[in-house]
Amino acid sequence: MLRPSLCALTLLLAAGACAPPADEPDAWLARVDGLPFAALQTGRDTADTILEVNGGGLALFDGDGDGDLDVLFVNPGPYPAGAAADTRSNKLYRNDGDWNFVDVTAESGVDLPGFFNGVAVGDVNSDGLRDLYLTRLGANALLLNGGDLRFELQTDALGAAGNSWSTSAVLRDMDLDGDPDLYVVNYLEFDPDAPPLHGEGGRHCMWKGHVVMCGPQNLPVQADRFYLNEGGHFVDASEAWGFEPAAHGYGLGVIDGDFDTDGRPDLYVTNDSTPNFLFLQREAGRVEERGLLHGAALSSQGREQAGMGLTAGDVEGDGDDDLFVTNFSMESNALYTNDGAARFRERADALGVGGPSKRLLGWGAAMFDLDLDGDLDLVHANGHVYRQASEPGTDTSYAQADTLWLNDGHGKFSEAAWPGDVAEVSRALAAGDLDDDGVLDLVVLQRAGAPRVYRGTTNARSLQVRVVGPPGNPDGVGTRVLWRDAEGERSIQVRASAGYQAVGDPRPVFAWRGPGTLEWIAPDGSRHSRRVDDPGALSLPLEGE
Amino acid sequence: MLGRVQSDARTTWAACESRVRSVARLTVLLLVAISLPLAACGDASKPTPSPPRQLSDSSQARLAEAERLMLNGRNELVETLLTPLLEASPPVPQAQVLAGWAAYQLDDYGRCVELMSAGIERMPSDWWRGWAGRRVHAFALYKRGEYERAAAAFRVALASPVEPAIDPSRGESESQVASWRAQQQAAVDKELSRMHYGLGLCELTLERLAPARAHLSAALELDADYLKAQHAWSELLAAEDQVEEALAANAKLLAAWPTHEEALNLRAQLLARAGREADAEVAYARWREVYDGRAAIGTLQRSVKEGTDTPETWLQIAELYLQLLDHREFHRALELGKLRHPDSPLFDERLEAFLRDNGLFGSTGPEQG
Repeated sequence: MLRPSLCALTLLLAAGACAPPADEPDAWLARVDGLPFAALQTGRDTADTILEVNGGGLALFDGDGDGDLDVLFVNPGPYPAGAAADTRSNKLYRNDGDWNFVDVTAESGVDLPGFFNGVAVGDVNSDGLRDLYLTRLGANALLLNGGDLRFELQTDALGAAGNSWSTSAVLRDMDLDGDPDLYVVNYLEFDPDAPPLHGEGGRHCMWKGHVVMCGPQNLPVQADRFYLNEGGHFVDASEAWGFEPAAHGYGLGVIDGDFDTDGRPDLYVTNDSTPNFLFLQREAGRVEERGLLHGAALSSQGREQAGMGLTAGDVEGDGDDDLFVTNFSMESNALYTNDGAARFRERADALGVGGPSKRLLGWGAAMFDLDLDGDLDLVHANGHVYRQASEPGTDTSYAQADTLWLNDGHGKFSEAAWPGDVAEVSRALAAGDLDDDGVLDLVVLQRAGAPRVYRGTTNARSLQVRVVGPPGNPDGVGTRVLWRDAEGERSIQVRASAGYQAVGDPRPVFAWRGPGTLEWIAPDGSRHSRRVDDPGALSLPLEGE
Repeated sequence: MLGRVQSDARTTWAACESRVRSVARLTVLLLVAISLPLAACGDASKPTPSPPRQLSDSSQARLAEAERLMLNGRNELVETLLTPLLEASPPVPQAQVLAGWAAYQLDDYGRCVELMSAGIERMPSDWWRGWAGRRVHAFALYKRGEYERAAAAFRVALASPVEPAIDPSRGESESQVASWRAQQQAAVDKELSRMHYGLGLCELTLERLAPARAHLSAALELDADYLKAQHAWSELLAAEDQVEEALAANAKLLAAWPTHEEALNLRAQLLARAGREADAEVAYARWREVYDGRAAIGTLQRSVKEGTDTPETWLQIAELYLQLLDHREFHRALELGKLRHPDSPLFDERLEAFLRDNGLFGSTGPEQG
């Protein structure tokens, strides 16, 4: 991997970009040890079925409304079914600032039995507090926030429990009525009492000459569900809204956005080994699945891939959101660039994030300005699904270093050093400013083992924007924030989802390169602006403007 | 029937390498031409071949046996067989190239690159198989996402063509020699075509459209019927925003290869870009039909790869292609099945029935892509 200094030199020579200041750190991320998360375990080392492959999820969210990010880890519980409870339960940590996190799980109500995977955050009952929707094998769980990080489990998840194997979910106000609706991503039918195994029932589960765990191919797919929030109760509106693709997929991730920039929310879903979905809401109250037609469903060669993690953001600086998807080994990442009307072209190879990822199997991803030079960089977690990947003849490995890509300002990426360059088996991740220093940090889950926490280390200054929305949307999800300074314009949309089984910091962070104008387009379409003369954190109230 | 197809091909390939005398070895070349993706090269440096080392009879026999194993699709046994030659000091470069070739077939591109990088610079400079090996090496780099290295490797291969020698001791007539020379040139052109295609593909992947155009154009000039290059050409036209031209090139390819999924996807994308959304929907309906069919075919192919290799499985694969109206792949599945199960009469019987049903009895079947 390139060190940042070499990388900066390369950029300088190749594109005339500015090198970082001389006092920049040696790496853009530094591992933070000594946190209480170190005691947490997520999954078994001996996993041998597909159920245990995907790992758990996490949310970086302000659960107690004190302005900083608390941390929820959503963990696959004991397996096989009936095994004794252990340290692998859901955990909630209160952020007391300055990297002090306190385990408040016991009194929080999040410690539920079950095999959990992912999480969505939103103010379901419009009381101004952020609630939790937890996905798992079987009925999902909805926990209403009673304040002070105490949550109460709701019967039948207020109508949205389902009974599938759910992976990711997103709470996003799709009908723009002021409260969050719910999209639940489902994977496949799995019976924990009769897991699919090689050699049983005529199953032939081989990969590169090795017997491996079975799936997802040849296992029954489970359809995703969409629920409308009707006054704090959910109603399945999958069919009514058109969330009925031509063929269902093995769903793993979801991200919200307004990809065709028409003011109405859209969704993008990654599917394992099946084409990805792009649900565009081209008319109010109705979506169309346009992934294939709009070039966002397949690889650049027109093949389906094993879509795992995903993230979205304006990597080219042209005002619309591009899509980044991690895939299986020998498939490479996909970077779908947007023409503004949600017509995409997959250009990962030409933009530098394709080829070097071929031997990686990617998971959670995030897009943010890590080095605060004015463009969006990329990180993604890696690690194979098959332990046998480390055997000879596979041209890949089970443990893999996570990846950091730096943007040259024009959407072309080069690989930068990952702290320690340690090969691990990572899964979900989320970015958030855990220490409120204006630089985003990163939490990366392992398939089995303690989460890794990394601190953003740049010395550059930033402008951090907190959108303050009304009850029902306290984080102002759906707001597009534009920062215009002497160097140009950048925009970031406030999202509800961090892609793969995770929720990240909703606060947009921009590089500070001098005074400028902040504009924001609220979910109702109203436009606002203000002059900003100093870096730091500021709040944008959506009401009372 | 299949025998006639093979004998036609045999005539073409016979002049490719004067040392190749046995039908088995010719068929290896044919199989390689069918099953490996295209063009060529070594690494960035210009090759400086060393004088070929005299190989013992036992080494020659081991290399011949390795080729036979590759012919029979037993690539997983090749490296083990060649171990004594690979572990010799210095290793035998021909063994490195063949083992690398087998690793490529097993999708172990890292091992392929490792073996071939070590072997191709020391292999005999007039070894036809070695020259083609440069192509395989470059494609392995491409498969690993090392596009710049792959492009450099293709360039080196293009710069170092091998012209298989005519054996003067055979004493054929002048006209025979002239005929062989023509066939030899055709074989060289075909290999060069694959190498240009590979380099063009690298350039296209990296969105360097001018050099991509030059090399893909060269590939098609050398072999106008080269279907993979035809697809890359339509992709290039699409990248150049020549939508109508791309659609025309795409239609030509799909007429010859109706189950080419990437081409079907490209067609739908092009139609959507042209504002013909209803047509694009129809194109995607066909794509999905092929996609679903390929899933079933893929399951059978995986079972073949992992050990359930029976004539019946190959017949099932062929039938699935026939259901998708892809006669080319139907033929190909029958041919590959027969190669692996030469004693089974099922393949000839099925092909004869197909030809009879379609009023084509007496045809030699479609040309191999």
